[in-house]
Amino acid sequence: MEQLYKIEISEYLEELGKELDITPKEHEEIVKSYQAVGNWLSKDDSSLTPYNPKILPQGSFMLGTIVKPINPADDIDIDLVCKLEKKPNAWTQRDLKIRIGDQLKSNSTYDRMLWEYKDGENYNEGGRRCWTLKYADVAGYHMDILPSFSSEGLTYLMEKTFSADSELNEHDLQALAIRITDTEKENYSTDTNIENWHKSNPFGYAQWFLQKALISKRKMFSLNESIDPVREYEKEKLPLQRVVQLLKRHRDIMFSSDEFDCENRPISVIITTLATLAYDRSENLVDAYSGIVARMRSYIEDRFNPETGQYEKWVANPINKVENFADKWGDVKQKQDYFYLWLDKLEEDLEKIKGSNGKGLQYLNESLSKMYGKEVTTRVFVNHGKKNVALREKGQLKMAGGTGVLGSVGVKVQNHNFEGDFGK
Amino acid sequence: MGSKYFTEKKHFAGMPANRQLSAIIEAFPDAKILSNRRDNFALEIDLQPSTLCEIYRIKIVYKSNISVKVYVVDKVLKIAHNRKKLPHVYSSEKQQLCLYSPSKKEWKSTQYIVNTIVPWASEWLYYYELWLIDGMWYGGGHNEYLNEELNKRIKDE
Repeated sequence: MEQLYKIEISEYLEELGKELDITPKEHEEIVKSYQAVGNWLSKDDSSLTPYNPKILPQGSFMLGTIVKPINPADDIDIDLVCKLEKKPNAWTQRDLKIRIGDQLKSNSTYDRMLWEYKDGENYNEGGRRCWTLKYADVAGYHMDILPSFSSEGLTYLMEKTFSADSELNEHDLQALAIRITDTEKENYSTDTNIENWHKSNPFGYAQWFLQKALISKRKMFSLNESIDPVREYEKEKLPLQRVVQLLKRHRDIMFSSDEFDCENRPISVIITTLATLAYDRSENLVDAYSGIVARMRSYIEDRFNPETGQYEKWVANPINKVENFADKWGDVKQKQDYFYLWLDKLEEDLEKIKGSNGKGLQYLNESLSKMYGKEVTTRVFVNHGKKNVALREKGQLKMAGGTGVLGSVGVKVQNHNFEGDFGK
Repeated sequence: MGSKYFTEKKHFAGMPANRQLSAIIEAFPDAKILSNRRDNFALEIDLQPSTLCEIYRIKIVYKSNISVKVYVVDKVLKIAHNRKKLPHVYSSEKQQLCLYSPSKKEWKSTQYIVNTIVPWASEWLYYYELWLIDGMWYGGGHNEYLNEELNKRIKDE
């Protein structure tokens, strides 16, 4: 692809990513909300205070890959970890879960929010792993709070900086793991030894993701920067973050069609993992996107399972190689089929994007609308048009000789009005 | 006295046709000259407002001190699905573009066409493609759809 074309198409994709993202205002509201939860859990007279409770974001909110739901009436899910650094020896998983739940319920607002999620279905025991707070419809989100236990070392590791060149330290990654509760585990209400609790590593995963996402321009980074509750809203996302947003939205649109069973659509963690593995640190968005789409498929492994005597598809958790994110594909064949259908469609759609050179903005709008949704796409084009009027009015729009390309090169486009004889 | 008359005449006559023409050719060496006389010319150039846009061939017809006219000549321009005619044209059939406000004297024949009319034409083509998307003109100028907006406002109230 020609250089100028790459720059121009990347600009549209970048703007599209911004439209899919939450706004700075929404971001601020969400941060305020979970900080308030954190403050409630750790305030002086909270029963949890001796155990140093903290609320930290995890999942797509931490990775910076959140996308708004297609239907504006649907909630955004915000994944949070509630981590305690100490616990009485006698506490089981259930004790930890219920204590956190009780502390939430002692606040009338949170008590109501726990009731309002799924009509109070999970009010007593919570969900399988989380407590869910349903915020008002106008807020448009709910928060999944994952009760967990971690060592004190976690805080220190989160301050450690890393860059695009650093080797990920396996030991540090493992030390970022937390222990979580799971109502479906046999030992849920009996086992007090955290070594036997389910291990999860959202922060290790985030470190892996962010280290792979960094481009050399950005020197040093620490996990704290992405979980810091008062961090600035990231206006400039890394190319990998944008690509993951575009991929997730593409999935959302494709599987919103009635011909698919939405339950079995590709899950975000598999998409994010494969995209990260396939990313080559391209700085240009369209290069990053096409490279990822072209290579993603090759990172799905075929592994022989000696127990069944059969090969099965594997998308290994990068920080826990024995965990297969695609473990459900064996039981529900449709999940695997859908994933490959989605990859096929992605490749086909990418060709359309790459072939939009010289076809007209209306053509690009139509292709992108089908892939990412009409409303967001058209908004991107309208904003582009308005931005160019503003640039011209400020005397910053130029036109290149020989081609007529409008941009930052050539003669200044003087102010004028498209009026003709209208004024007469 | 004679010299004063001369400068005034020169002022009113605008820029000589050959100077306008050579400035265009300098910026657009591929221009195709259709006619070239002492006080008028016609030529065609290709414009592509962005690499994502189509390439359009436009014809510029200049008469010193009288007019400059711009037409899209290589294709029949499509109409947005919710519209019946092109926006900001003198004539939808002739595809002659309205690029500036004559009453506000936004263009005078003392100005180089290549620095004014040509960039405006490129902008027109860019906003035309955006117009094809939803039938709205985002490039500024007079409001083509004023009645429609007034009706909507009345309905909303």
